[in-house]
Amino acid sequence: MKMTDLTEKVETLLAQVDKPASYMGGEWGSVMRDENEAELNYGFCFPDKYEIGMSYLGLQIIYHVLNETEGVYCQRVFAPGSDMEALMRETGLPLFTEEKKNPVSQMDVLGFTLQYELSFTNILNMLDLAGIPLKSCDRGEEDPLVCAGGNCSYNPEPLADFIDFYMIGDGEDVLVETAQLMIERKRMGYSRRELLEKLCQVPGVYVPSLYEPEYDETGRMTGHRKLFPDAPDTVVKRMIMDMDSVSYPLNPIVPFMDVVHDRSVIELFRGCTRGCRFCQAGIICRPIRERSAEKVKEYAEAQLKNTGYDEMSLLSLSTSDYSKIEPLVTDLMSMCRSRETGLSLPSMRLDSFSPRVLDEISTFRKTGLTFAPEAGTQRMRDVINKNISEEDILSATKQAIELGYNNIKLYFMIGLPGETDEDIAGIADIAGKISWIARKDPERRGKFNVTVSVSNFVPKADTPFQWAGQNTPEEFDRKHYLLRDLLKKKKGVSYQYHGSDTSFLEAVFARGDRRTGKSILRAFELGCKFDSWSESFDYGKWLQAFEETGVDPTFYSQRTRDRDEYLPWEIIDCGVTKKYMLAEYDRAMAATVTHDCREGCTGCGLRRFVECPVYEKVKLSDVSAPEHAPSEM
Amino acid sequence: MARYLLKFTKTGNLRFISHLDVLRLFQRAFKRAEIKLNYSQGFNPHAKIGFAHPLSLGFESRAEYMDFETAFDNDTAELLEKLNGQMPEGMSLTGCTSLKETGRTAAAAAVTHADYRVVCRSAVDEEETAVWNERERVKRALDSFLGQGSIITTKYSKKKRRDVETDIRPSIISFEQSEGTDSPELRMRLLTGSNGNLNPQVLMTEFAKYAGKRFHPQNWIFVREEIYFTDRSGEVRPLNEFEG
Repeated sequence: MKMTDLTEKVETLLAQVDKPASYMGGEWGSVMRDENEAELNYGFCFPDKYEIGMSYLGLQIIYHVLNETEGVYCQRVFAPGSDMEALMRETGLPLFTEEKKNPVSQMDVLGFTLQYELSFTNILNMLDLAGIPLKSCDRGEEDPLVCAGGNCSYNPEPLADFIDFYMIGDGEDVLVETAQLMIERKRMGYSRRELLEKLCQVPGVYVPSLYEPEYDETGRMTGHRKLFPDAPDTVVKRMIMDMDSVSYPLNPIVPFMDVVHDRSVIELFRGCTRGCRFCQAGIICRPIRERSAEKVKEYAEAQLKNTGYDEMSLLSLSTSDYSKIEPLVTDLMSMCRSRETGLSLPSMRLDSFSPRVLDEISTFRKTGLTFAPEAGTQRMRDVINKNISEEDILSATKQAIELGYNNIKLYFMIGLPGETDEDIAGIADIAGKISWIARKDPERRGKFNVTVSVSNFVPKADTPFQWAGQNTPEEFDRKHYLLRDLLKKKKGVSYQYHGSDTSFLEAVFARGDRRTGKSILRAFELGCKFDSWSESFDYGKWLQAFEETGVDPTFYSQRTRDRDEYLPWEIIDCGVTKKYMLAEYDRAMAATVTHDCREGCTGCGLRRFVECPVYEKVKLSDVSAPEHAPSEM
Repeated sequence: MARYLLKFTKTGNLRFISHLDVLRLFQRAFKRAEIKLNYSQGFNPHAKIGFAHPLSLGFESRAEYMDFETAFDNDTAELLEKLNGQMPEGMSLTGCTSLKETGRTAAAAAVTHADYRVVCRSAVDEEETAVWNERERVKRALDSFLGQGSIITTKYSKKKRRDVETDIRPSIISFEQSEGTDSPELRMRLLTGSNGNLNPQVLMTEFAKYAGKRFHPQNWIFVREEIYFTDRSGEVRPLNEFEG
């Protein structure tokens, strides 16, 4: 069947909407092919606006990997802005692909990336705009398959009713393997059910409809009952062990319009050895896997040449932890300088912060600097295992101030387990001390600014804090005002904080079970979408949705889980054992730190599946024995 | 150092990208083509690129102009070839000329006139198309419209916080129907730049109101056909003959 071309209809609407460039396609680097020649038409769906999706490196990687796969043509799909959506619904124009303006319902498969919980309603809205049944069980043989991946898929249960299959972990290999199975289905004519039964046997693939959640009389989940005997007992995440072996987008799409991050991005490494106890990425992205400096430089050069960007950024969870960061930055800096290009280094840690690195980047453009102490007192930083001292914070900012930076932004979290008002006061204290360092210099007075940006702690699945209850929204509000009043007394300090209601919702879905999906569906029906955008977030409707679906959201957000309780996301094995996370939880409660695993293996459990590159290195350099015994090796 | 004037088109979907988007697009195209631009000095250096006259969002153009300054001398044919390889669909470069190194007038400041073509998208609204297809009637209306001594438009001024009246008649140099086209089409030459400036959409709206004809801008395609400057002898010439 030839695919429908909606170009004319889309064009008529473009003159009437804000940001028409987000629906145009045809950007430099976008892949324009004959969709009727493809064996498998893939719609990569980003459940938010174009300018957000185009700032996300994962989109470029997946787009590149899929379009490199024989027989596959991958196009992008974004959530239209509300003005565009209104016109689409009014004129009966269905959701369309960015590149060829094909109806999304004619794709063979739609892949959603789950980056944050507050984008969940957008997924339902996009399916609805496409005219595709929202629930997996209502989709027929001719409907596209709907799959998902990304960090929120480590707790796949809230969206389990809507997603046909999940891919967990690094996508490069599993995307290709599942695409090949879908091509095989088209050739052989398997039914949808047969395909799903085959898909569930691909490592890293979770097919929710092949399992049924079980609950006890108190409403707690007790397990996943298999409905298909060959479905795996647990789904182990996929890991790319050799970063130099996977292909990287050297011709990324360069948007016409201004997007949030509009620059060349080179991924340095995946994983992190630090072990911050609140951090989901720090657990699920283990082990640390670096891209070689040669590849980084080769990719950087190629991307700059192919895109013409005037800014480049390095991406990882903790840039300064790259093993040879100084020589790399020096080389990249000279490459950038000869091209009148700026280099930005996000995610720098305060303790490994090198004046030399800072000096390198500050010779071209002095943008602001951002640091993340995360907590205000040493005790609290020990609880979360953010192994930095106040001295680290102050000396790093002092160096930055001396180099001429006038804007420093500090990230903190409030509502962490075991937090007292003293810990909140500690945040104000640090901000005041930093501001004072700058104000000692009379020339800087009035020019220098510290921004304190506070987010609300959301306990996430697959972290040592996955058992912890979240603060109530009222408690968050009280702490926001407390900190605001303390910061008022400090000069040269500005203050930002996140809304408590959205953090509450995030917590519900970060650790929700399958029953919470009913509330997402109801919230969508009530008109919720773009929940992460303050102008469209409607808390009242969410409360109504919980009420009407009989879901108590505080059961998920505020309740402290029992140690032996079955957790809804246990069907997914993130590589790190529950036992290890529980041990870390106990150490947190005792404010005991755990060292960086580059100083010796702490036994997280990853070695059950792969050879950990850090472990191999540590063994060779003969570092002292681990502090606590490796579990379940 | 050398200065050049580039002529390019902006058609199809690219009519929906803004002035700033075009600027960004060219900066990147220059980098990809490895043509070194001169940068301004100062705190936040930016490439020395200037556009002749901003085009309204949604308008197509057969004749956009951009001047730029490079660090070294280049062959104009070579520049054109290198850059053309870096253009997305909908944008193509149609000419490149050298400007005087010491020229003090930016191309933008020299602009005095522009030609536009306004075409009805026939498929969209049959009734509207039919009205404008009555060529004799349109011609009579045009004659009497242009025969007026003055044509007053009112526009709300944000700055003055009230409606401001303007006589647009002096800004209309010519305004006529195209002959022998399938769809209704009008052509106009309008004052453009600091000595007077009239947007063709404003003119079309005024004319439609005067003639009592249905007119929805989204059903029409606006195309800028050429931009002109006036030389010392008073002759109106296409901007690609401008030397700086």
